[in-house]
Amino acid sequence: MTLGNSYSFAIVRVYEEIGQVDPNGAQTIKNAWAGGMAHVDGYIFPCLRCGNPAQQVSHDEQTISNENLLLSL
Amino acid sequence: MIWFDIEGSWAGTPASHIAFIHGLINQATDMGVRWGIYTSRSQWGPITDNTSEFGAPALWYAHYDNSPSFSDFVPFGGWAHPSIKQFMGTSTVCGVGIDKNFY
Repeated sequence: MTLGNSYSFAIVRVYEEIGQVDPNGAQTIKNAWAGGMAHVDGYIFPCLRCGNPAQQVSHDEQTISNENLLLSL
Repeated sequence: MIWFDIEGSWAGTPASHIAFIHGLINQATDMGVRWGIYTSRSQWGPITDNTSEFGAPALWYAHYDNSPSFSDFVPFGGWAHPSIKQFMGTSTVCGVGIDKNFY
């Protein structure tokens, strides 16, 4: 999906409700920027039954950092 | 920024769900990450008992009326105005499955 189709903003799943970082999130974010998006955000689908919401956010942010992902501020 | 997806059938009480959401938000805030909430009136109500205790952080709401417009928005929780609307669910664009959003 590129700017040719008039989309300029993507919000990509980075965490899945089954309780793990989305394995496709990093590449999808990179693809979105490569495709010409002006803005790329992420969304977390939290795992309620997993508990420990802070850890879910922390794991997600660690992945974003490890993969050198850029998200819009 | 990161959006927290608050939807679905959550086991337990609204009070426990609110505490869980605080946990998500507090960690993001501690890490300096800007965050918003993705939800809809039909989800936020049962999950949090329509709480307004989070005030009005950025709201990305869903209403699949295929209309890229906020004119359908009805206030709920602590929100009077939305930031983004998801107006259509699973669609295919260039062979990619997406939901469509308007802002």
